[in-house]
Amino acid sequence: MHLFISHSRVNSAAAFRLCDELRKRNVNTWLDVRDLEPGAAWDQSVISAIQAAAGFVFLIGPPGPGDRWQTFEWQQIVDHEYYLDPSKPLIPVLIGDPEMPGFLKTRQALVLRDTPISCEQVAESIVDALKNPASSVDETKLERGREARRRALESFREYSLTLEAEDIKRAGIRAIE
Amino acid sequence: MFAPLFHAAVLTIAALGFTPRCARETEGESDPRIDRIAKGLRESKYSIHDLSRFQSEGPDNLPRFNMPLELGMALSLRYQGKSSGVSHNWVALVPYGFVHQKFISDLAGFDPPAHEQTPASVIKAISGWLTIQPDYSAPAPSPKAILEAYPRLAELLEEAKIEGLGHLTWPVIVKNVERVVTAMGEPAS
Repeated sequence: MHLFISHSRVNSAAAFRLCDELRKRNVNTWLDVRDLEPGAAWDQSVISAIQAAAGFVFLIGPPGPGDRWQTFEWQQIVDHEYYLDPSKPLIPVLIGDPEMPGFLKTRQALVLRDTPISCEQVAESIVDALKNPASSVDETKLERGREARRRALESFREYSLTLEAEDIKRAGIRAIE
Repeated sequence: MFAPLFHAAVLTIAALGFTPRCARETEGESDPRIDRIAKGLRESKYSIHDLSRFQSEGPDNLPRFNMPLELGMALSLRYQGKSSGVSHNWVALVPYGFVHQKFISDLAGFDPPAHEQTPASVIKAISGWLTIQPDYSAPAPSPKAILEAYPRLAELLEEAKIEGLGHLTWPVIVKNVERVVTAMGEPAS
Protein backbone atom coordinates (compact mmCIF):
# COMPACT_ATOMS: atom_id res chain seq x y z
CA MET A 1 0.00 0.00 0.00
CA HIS A 2 1.18 3.49 -0.78
CA LEU A 3 0.24 7.14 -0.46
CA PHE A 4 -0.55 8.66 -3.86
CA ILE A 5 1.08 12.06 -4.38
CA SER A 6 -0.84 14.26 -6.81
CA HIS A 7 1.16 17.26 -7.97
CA SER A 8 1.45 19.61 -10.92
CA ARG A 9 4.76 19.72 -12.76
CA VAL A 10 5.67 23.09 -11.22
CA ASN A 11 5.70 21.35 -7.82
CA SER A 12 7.89 18.41 -8.79
CA ALA A 13 10.79 19.53 -6.59
CA ALA A 14 8.49 20.00 -3.58
CA ALA A 15 6.88 16.59 -4.27
CA PHE A 16 10.29 14.87 -4.26
CA ARG A 17 11.29 16.63 -1.02
CA LEU A 18 8.04 15.61 0.66
CA CYS A 19 8.41 12.01 -0.52
CA ASP A 20 11.91 11.91 0.99
CA GLU A 21 10.58 13.16 4.32
CA LEU A 22 7.77 10.61 4.24
CA ARG A 23 10.17 7.80 3.39
CA LYS A 24 12.20 8.70 6.50
CA ARG A 25 8.97 8.10 8.41
CA ASN A 26 8.37 4.70 6.73
CA VAL A 27 5.57 5.90 4.45
CA ASN A 28 5.60 4.51 0.91
CA THR A 29 4.64 7.02 -1.72
CA TRP A 30 3.72 6.83 -5.41
CA LEU A 31 4.89 9.70 -7.59
CA ASP A 32 4.32 9.42 -11.34
CA VAL A 33 7.57 11.08 -12.42
CA ARG A 34 9.51 8.64 -10.26
CA ASP A 35 7.44 5.45 -10.27
CA LEU A 36 6.16 5.14 -13.83
CA GLU A 37 7.67 2.12 -15.49
CA PRO A 38 9.42 2.83 -18.80
CA GLY A 39 7.05 2.35 -21.72
CA ALA A 40 3.95 2.13 -19.51
CA ALA A 41 0.87 4.15 -20.49
CA TRP A 42 0.76 7.12 -18.13
CA ASP A 43 -3.03 7.22 -17.68
CA GLN A 44 -3.42 3.49 -17.02
CA SER A 45 -0.52 3.48 -14.56
CA VAL A 46 -2.00 6.46 -12.71
CA ILE A 47 -5.42 4.79 -12.49
CA SER A 48 -3.86 1.58 -11.11
CA ALA A 49 -1.80 3.56 -8.59
CA ILE A 50 -4.91 5.46 -7.47
CA GLN A 51 -6.89 2.25 -7.02
CA ALA A 52 -4.11 0.72 -4.95
CA ALA A 53 -3.56 3.81 -2.79
CA ALA A 54 -4.26 3.88 0.94
CA GLY A 55 -4.56 7.66 0.85
CA PHE A 56 -3.89 10.75 -1.21
CA VAL A 57 -1.79 13.87 -0.81
CA PHE A 58 -2.57 16.78 -3.15
CA LEU A 59 0.08 19.43 -3.67
CA ILE A 60 -2.01 22.41 -4.75
CA GLY A 61 -0.69 25.73 -6.00
CA PRO A 62 0.61 28.19 -6.78
CA PRO A 63 -2.58 30.07 -7.75
CA GLY A 64 -3.70 29.64 -11.33
CA PRO A 65 -4.89 26.70 -13.35
CA GLY A 66 -3.23 23.42 -12.45
CA ASP A 67 -1.84 21.24 -15.19
CA ARG A 68 -3.90 18.72 -17.15
CA TRP A 69 -2.11 15.74 -15.60
CA GLN A 70 -3.06 16.75 -12.11
CA THR A 71 -6.61 17.48 -13.26
CA PHE A 72 -6.74 13.96 -14.70
CA GLU A 73 -5.66 12.54 -11.32
CA TRP A 74 -8.34 14.54 -9.48
CA GLN A 75 -10.93 13.36 -11.99
CA GLN A 76 -9.98 9.72 -11.36
CA ILE A 77 -10.13 10.14 -7.58
CA VAL A 78 -13.55 11.77 -7.92
CA ASP A 79 -14.76 9.10 -10.37
CA HIS A 80 -13.85 6.40 -7.86
CA GLU A 81 -15.77 8.39 -5.20
CA TYR A 82 -12.88 8.26 -2.70
CA TYR A 83 -13.69 11.85 -1.73
CA LEU A 84 -16.99 10.63 -0.29
CA ASP A 85 -15.29 8.21 2.08
CA PRO A 86 -14.33 9.93 5.36
CA SER A 87 -12.15 6.96 6.29
CA LYS A 88 -9.93 7.58 3.26
CA PRO A 89 -7.26 10.18 4.03
CA LEU A 90 -7.34 12.93 1.41
CA ILE A 91 -4.79 15.54 2.44
CA PRO A 92 -4.51 18.86 0.61
CA VAL A 93 -1.10 20.53 0.93
CA LEU A 94 -1.24 24.16 -0.11
CA ILE A 95 1.66 25.96 -1.73
CA GLY A 96 1.05 29.72 -1.83
CA ASP A 97 -2.58 30.72 -1.61
CA PRO A 98 -4.36 28.67 -4.26
CA GLU A 99 -8.07 28.01 -4.72
CA MET A 100 -8.97 24.52 -3.50
CA PRO A 101 -10.86 22.16 -5.76
CA GLY A 102 -14.39 21.73 -4.38
CA PHE A 103 -14.09 18.05 -3.47
CA LEU A 104 -11.23 18.80 -1.04
CA LYS A 105 -12.83 21.75 0.69
CA THR A 106 -14.02 19.72 3.68
CA ARG A 107 -10.57 18.26 4.31
CA GLN A 108 -7.98 19.66 6.70
CA ALA A 109 -5.40 21.46 4.60
CA LEU A 110 -1.71 21.68 5.43
CA VAL A 111 0.51 24.55 4.28
CA LEU A 112 3.90 23.85 2.75
CA ARG A 113 6.44 26.66 2.75
CA ASP A 114 9.75 26.63 0.97
CA THR A 115 11.80 25.61 4.01
CA PRO A 116 13.13 22.22 5.15
CA ILE A 117 11.42 22.59 8.54
CA SER A 118 8.05 23.21 6.89
CA CYS A 119 8.48 20.07 4.79
CA GLU A 120 9.28 18.04 7.92
CA GLN A 121 6.22 19.44 9.72
CA VAL A 122 3.94 18.64 6.79
CA ALA A 123 5.33 15.09 6.63
CA GLU A 124 4.67 14.68 10.39
CA SER A 125 1.10 15.92 9.97
CA ILE A 126 0.55 13.51 7.08
CA VAL A 127 1.77 10.62 9.22
CA ASP A 128 -0.70 11.69 11.95
CA ALA A 129 -3.53 11.88 9.42
CA LEU A 130 -2.72 8.38 8.17
CA LYS A 131 -2.95 7.05 11.73
CA ASN A 132 -6.33 8.70 12.19
CA PRO A 133 -7.96 9.13 8.74
CA ALA A 134 -11.15 10.69 10.12
CA SER A 135 -9.06 13.62 11.35
CA SER A 136 -8.51 14.66 7.72
CA VAL A 137 -12.17 15.79 7.62
CA ASP A 138 -12.75 19.34 8.87
CA GLU A 139 -16.13 19.30 10.65
CA THR A 140 -16.45 23.10 10.61
CA LYS A 141 -15.97 23.20 6.85
CA LEU A 142 -18.37 20.28 6.45
CA GLU A 143 -21.05 22.24 8.32
CA ARG A 144 -20.27 25.29 6.18
CA GLY A 145 -20.73 23.07 3.12
CA ARG A 146 -24.12 21.90 4.39
CA GLU A 147 -25.16 25.52 4.85
CA ALA A 148 -23.95 26.39 1.33
CA ARG A 149 -25.99 23.48 -0.03
CA ARG A 150 -29.14 24.66 1.75
CA ARG A 151 -28.62 28.16 0.29
CA ALA A 152 -28.02 26.72 -3.19
CA LEU A 153 -31.25 24.72 -3.02
CA GLU A 154 -33.14 27.78 -1.84
CA SER A 155 -31.76 29.85 -4.70
CA PHE A 156 -32.67 27.08 -7.17
CA ARG A 157 -36.22 27.06 -5.78
CA GLU A 158 -36.44 30.84 -6.27
CA TYR A 159 -35.16 30.46 -9.83
CA SER A 160 -37.83 27.85 -10.51
CA LEU A 161 -40.57 30.12 -9.14
CA THR A 162 -39.31 33.08 -11.22
CA LEU A 163 -39.37 30.94 -14.36
CA GLU A 164 -42.89 29.79 -13.59
CA ALA A 165 -44.08 33.38 -13.06
CA GLU A 166 -42.46 34.53 -16.31
CA ASP A 167 -44.01 31.59 -18.14
CA ILE A 168 -47.47 32.54 -16.91
CA LYS A 169 -46.84 36.16 -17.94
CA ARG A 170 -45.74 35.09 -21.44
CA ALA A 171 -48.77 32.81 -21.81
CA GLY A 172 -50.97 35.77 -20.88
CA ILE A 173 -49.31 38.00 -23.51
CA ARG A 174 -49.72 35.25 -26.13
CA ALA A 175 -53.41 34.93 -25.23
CA ILE A 176 -53.95 38.69 -25.59
CA GLU A 177 -52.12 38.69 -28.94
CA MET B 1 -32.86 10.12 -27.50
CA PHE B 2 -31.32 13.48 -26.62
CA ALA B 3 -33.95 14.57 -24.05
CA PRO B 4 -33.08 11.94 -21.37
CA LEU B 5 -29.41 12.97 -21.52
CA PHE B 6 -30.33 16.64 -21.23
CA HIS B 7 -32.61 15.92 -18.26
CA ALA B 8 -29.87 13.84 -16.59
CA ALA B 9 -27.46 16.76 -17.07
CA VAL B 10 -29.90 19.28 -15.55
CA LEU B 11 -30.55 16.98 -12.59
CA THR B 12 -26.83 16.50 -11.94
CA ILE B 13 -26.07 20.21 -12.07
CA ALA B 14 -28.90 21.03 -9.63
CA ALA B 15 -28.14 18.09 -7.31
CA LEU B 16 -24.55 19.31 -6.96
CA GLY B 17 -25.71 22.74 -5.82
CA PHE B 18 -25.42 24.72 -9.05
CA THR B 19 -28.25 26.45 -10.92
CA PRO B 20 -28.76 25.04 -14.41
CA ARG B 21 -29.37 27.66 -17.11
CA CYS B 22 -29.88 27.13 -20.83
CA ALA B 23 -31.05 28.90 -23.96
CA ARG B 24 -34.50 27.37 -23.51
CA GLU B 25 -34.96 29.58 -20.45
CA THR B 26 -35.83 32.51 -22.73
CA GLU B 27 -37.84 30.57 -25.32
CA GLY B 28 -40.49 32.79 -26.79
CA GLU B 29 -38.60 36.04 -26.26
CA SER B 30 -38.05 38.28 -29.26
CA ASP B 31 -34.22 38.58 -28.97
CA PRO B 32 -32.23 36.45 -31.42
CA ARG B 33 -31.32 33.08 -29.95
CA ILE B 34 -27.58 33.75 -30.23
CA ASP B 35 -27.96 36.94 -28.14
CA ARG B 36 -29.83 34.98 -25.48
CA ILE B 37 -27.14 32.32 -25.43
CA ALA B 38 -24.40 34.96 -25.15
CA LYS B 39 -26.26 36.58 -22.25
CA GLY B 40 -26.72 33.22 -20.48
CA LEU B 41 -23.04 32.40 -20.88
CA ARG B 42 -21.95 35.82 -19.59
CA GLU B 43 -24.13 35.34 -16.52
CA SER B 44 -22.72 31.86 -15.81
CA LYS B 45 -19.40 31.01 -14.23
CA TYR B 46 -19.37 27.55 -15.79
CA SER B 47 -20.67 26.06 -19.02
CA ILE B 48 -21.11 22.51 -20.27
CA HIS B 49 -21.10 21.76 -24.00
CA ASP B 50 -22.14 18.36 -25.27
CA LEU B 51 -20.32 17.63 -28.51
CA SER B 52 -21.50 14.04 -28.71
CA ARG B 53 -24.06 14.77 -31.48
CA PHE B 54 -21.47 15.14 -34.18
CA GLN B 55 -23.03 12.73 -36.65
CA SER B 56 -25.28 13.78 -39.50
CA GLU B 57 -28.96 13.46 -38.77
CA GLY B 58 -32.40 14.30 -40.14
CA PRO B 59 -33.70 14.05 -43.71
CA ASP B 60 -30.91 16.32 -45.00
CA ASN B 61 -28.23 14.27 -43.27
CA LEU B 62 -26.55 17.26 -41.64
CA PRO B 63 -24.56 17.50 -38.39
CA ARG B 64 -25.53 20.06 -35.75
CA PHE B 65 -23.16 23.00 -35.36
CA ASN B 66 -24.87 24.84 -32.51
CA MET B 67 -22.87 23.16 -29.76
CA PRO B 68 -19.41 23.86 -31.23
CA LEU B 69 -20.48 27.45 -31.90
CA GLU B 70 -21.58 27.86 -28.26
CA LEU B 71 -18.35 26.26 -27.08
CA GLY B 72 -16.45 28.86 -29.13
CA MET B 73 -18.39 31.61 -27.35
CA ALA B 74 -17.54 30.09 -23.96
CA LEU B 75 -13.88 29.85 -24.92
CA SER B 76 -13.83 33.52 -25.86
CA LEU B 77 -15.31 34.36 -22.43
CA ARG B 78 -12.63 32.24 -20.79
CA TYR B 79 -9.81 34.00 -22.64
CA GLN B 80 -11.31 37.47 -22.18
CA GLY B 81 -11.77 36.67 -18.52
CA LYS B 82 -8.06 36.15 -18.06
CA SER B 83 -7.51 39.86 -18.77
CA SER B 84 -10.76 41.22 -17.32
CA GLY B 85 -10.68 39.17 -14.11
CA VAL B 86 -14.15 37.66 -14.75
CA SER B 87 -13.77 33.92 -14.64
CA HIS B 88 -15.54 31.44 -16.87
CA ASN B 89 -14.72 27.77 -17.05
CA TRP B 90 -16.10 25.34 -19.59
CA VAL B 91 -16.13 21.66 -20.33
CA ALA B 92 -16.93 19.82 -23.54
CA LEU B 93 -18.47 16.38 -23.30
CA VAL B 94 -17.40 14.09 -26.11
CA PRO B 95 -18.34 10.60 -27.28
CA TYR B 96 -16.36 7.63 -26.04
CA GLY B 97 -13.46 6.37 -28.09
CA PHE B 98 -11.42 9.54 -28.79
CA VAL B 99 -13.40 10.13 -32.01
CA HIS B 100 -13.52 13.84 -31.11
CA GLN B 101 -9.85 14.00 -31.99
CA LYS B 102 -10.97 13.59 -35.60
CA PHE B 103 -13.80 16.11 -35.73
CA ILE B 104 -12.55 18.75 -33.26
CA SER B 105 -8.82 18.24 -33.01
CA ASP B 106 -8.35 21.76 -31.56
CA LEU B 107 -9.42 20.33 -28.21
CA ALA B 108 -6.24 18.28 -28.05
CA GLY B 109 -4.71 18.66 -24.61
CA PHE B 110 -7.97 19.26 -22.76
CA ASP B 111 -8.91 15.62 -22.01
CA PRO B 112 -12.65 16.31 -22.28
CA PRO B 113 -14.83 13.86 -20.35
CA ALA B 114 -16.56 11.27 -22.51
CA HIS B 115 -20.01 9.75 -22.24
CA GLU B 116 -21.72 6.93 -24.05
CA GLN B 117 -25.10 8.58 -24.67
CA THR B 118 -26.69 7.19 -21.51
CA PRO B 119 -28.01 9.14 -18.51
CA ALA B 120 -25.63 7.20 -16.24
CA SER B 121 -22.53 8.19 -18.21
CA VAL B 122 -23.69 11.83 -18.53
CA ILE B 123 -24.26 12.01 -14.75
CA LYS B 124 -20.80 10.58 -14.13
CA ALA B 125 -19.06 12.90 -16.62
CA ILE B 126 -20.72 16.07 -15.32
CA SER B 127 -20.33 15.10 -11.65
CA GLY B 128 -16.65 14.42 -12.21
CA TRP B 129 -16.08 17.85 -13.70
CA LEU B 130 -18.25 19.93 -11.37
CA THR B 131 -16.89 18.26 -8.24
CA ILE B 132 -13.38 19.51 -8.92
CA GLN B 133 -14.49 23.11 -9.49
CA PRO B 134 -13.79 25.53 -6.61
CA ASP B 135 -17.48 26.42 -6.24
CA TYR B 136 -18.58 22.86 -5.53
CA SER B 137 -19.55 22.46 -1.89
CA ALA B 138 -19.46 19.14 -0.13
CA PRO B 139 -21.51 17.38 1.07
CA ALA B 140 -23.47 16.71 -2.08
CA PRO B 141 -25.06 13.56 -3.49
CA SER B 142 -22.77 11.03 -5.14
CA PRO B 143 -23.16 10.23 -8.85
CA LYS B 144 -24.76 6.95 -7.74
CA ALA B 145 -27.38 8.79 -5.66
CA ILE B 146 -28.13 11.10 -8.59
CA LEU B 147 -28.52 8.11 -10.91
CA GLU B 148 -30.89 6.50 -8.42
CA ALA B 149 -33.00 9.67 -8.40
CA TYR B 150 -33.05 9.96 -12.19
CA PRO B 151 -35.92 7.46 -12.90
CA ARG B 152 -38.21 9.50 -10.64
CA LEU B 153 -37.41 12.63 -12.68
CA ALA B 154 -38.02 10.73 -15.94
CA GLU B 155 -41.39 9.62 -14.57
CA LEU B 156 -42.39 13.15 -13.50
CA LEU B 157 -41.33 14.61 -16.84
CA GLU B 158 -43.24 11.95 -18.72
CA GLU B 159 -46.41 12.89 -16.81
CA ALA B 160 -45.71 16.60 -17.39
CA LYS B 161 -45.22 15.97 -21.10
CA ILE B 162 -48.60 14.31 -21.35
CA GLU B 163 -50.14 17.27 -19.51
CA GLY B 164 -48.32 19.66 -21.86
CA LEU B 165 -49.68 17.85 -24.91
CA GLY B 166 -46.28 16.48 -25.85
CA HIS B 167 -44.30 19.61 -25.01
CA LEU B 168 -41.96 20.17 -22.06
CA THR B 169 -41.04 23.77 -21.32
CA TRP B 170 -37.89 24.76 -19.43
CA PRO B 171 -39.87 25.99 -16.37
CA VAL B 172 -41.59 22.60 -16.16
CA ILE B 173 -38.27 20.73 -16.38
CA VAL B 174 -36.73 22.96 -13.68
CA LYS B 175 -39.75 22.64 -11.40
CA ASN B 176 -39.60 18.84 -11.53
CA VAL B 177 -35.82 18.76 -11.12
CA GLU B 178 -36.25 20.94 -8.04
CA ARG B 179 -38.82 18.46 -6.63
CA VAL B 180 -36.48 15.52 -7.17
CA VAL B 181 -33.42 17.28 -5.74
CA THR B 182 -35.38 18.37 -2.66
CA ALA B 183 -36.58 14.79 -2.16
CA MET B 184 -32.97 13.54 -2.28
CA GLY B 185 -32.43 15.10 1.14
CA GLU B 186 -29.17 16.01 2.77
CA PRO B 187 -26.15 13.82 2.04
CA ALA B 188 -24.07 12.68 5.00
CA SER B 189 -20.56 13.36 3.72
